[in-house]
Amino acid sequence: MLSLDIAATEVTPRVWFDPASSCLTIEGESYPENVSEFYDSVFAWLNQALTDLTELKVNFYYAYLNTSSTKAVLDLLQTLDDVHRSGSAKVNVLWRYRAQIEVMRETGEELGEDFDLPFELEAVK
Amino acid sequence: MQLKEIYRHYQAARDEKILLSFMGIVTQQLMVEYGKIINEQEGLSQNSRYLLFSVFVELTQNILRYSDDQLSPPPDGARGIGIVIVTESDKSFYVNSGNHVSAQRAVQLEKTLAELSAMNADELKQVHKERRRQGPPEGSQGAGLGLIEVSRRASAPPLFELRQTSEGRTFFSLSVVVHKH
Repeated sequence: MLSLDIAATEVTPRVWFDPASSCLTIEGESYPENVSEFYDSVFAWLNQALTDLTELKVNFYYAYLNTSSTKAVLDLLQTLDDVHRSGSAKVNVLWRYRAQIEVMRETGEELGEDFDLPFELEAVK
Repeated sequence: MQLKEIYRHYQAARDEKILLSFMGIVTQQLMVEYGKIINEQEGLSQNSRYLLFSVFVELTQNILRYSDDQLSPPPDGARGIGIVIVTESDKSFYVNSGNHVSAQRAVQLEKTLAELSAMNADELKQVHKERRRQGPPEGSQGAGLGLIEVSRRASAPPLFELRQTSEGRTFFSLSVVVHKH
């Protein structure tokens, strides 16, 4: 029921859930023409999953993120932050970025500052 | 077009060090393909290539979404008319875009870009943070973060012009520089 695996395209990331580690991973490019159309399915899954899960790890690893996708990530983090605050599930976010792309680290830092939930950064060499 | 004009255009493009340019109907698919040319550029840092690509995507998606010459309304697939020209100098790339805008959007752009161009990096960071908290303004199809992010990623404040055309319309030109290192 909790399975999720959306294949990557040229302009959208792969999104998948690993039940064994209770980890949702979003990895790849994100600059579709219609951002909400893509992220709506992620939200639909997340809202369903959060009724069952007591623990959720979320790994972001974007190769590229346009500004309207940033808005979708903000909305995702807001949902996760609400869950964290309510205590209904333990939430951890990991923001991975390519070490050479400083602007991706900066984006992660700034997003992390916007919320209370545990938010870690990891440079990928 | 006269045949000799083709060479004149070719020469002019080469002299201007035009890396890519397209004018006419701008689609998402076209942008993705041209974006590959940018991602294959050498002689700049990975971070600068990311900045260049991101400025290119934002400016091109702005034409898709906000050009006043729209062929089909979103969300079926935006197709706006405009021009994108990316040029190169020894130390920098320039992403230039142009498209007609509505009178209403022209007023917004003038105000927003004038404000942003007067800000330093810390002020831009702060206004980005405020926008993230507030959410998109009315009429925005994205996050309302686009021009703020472009200003942050540019190596100097973006140059812009809102020109009244003889047809009584407004043409919006934008030029953004990204240094190679």
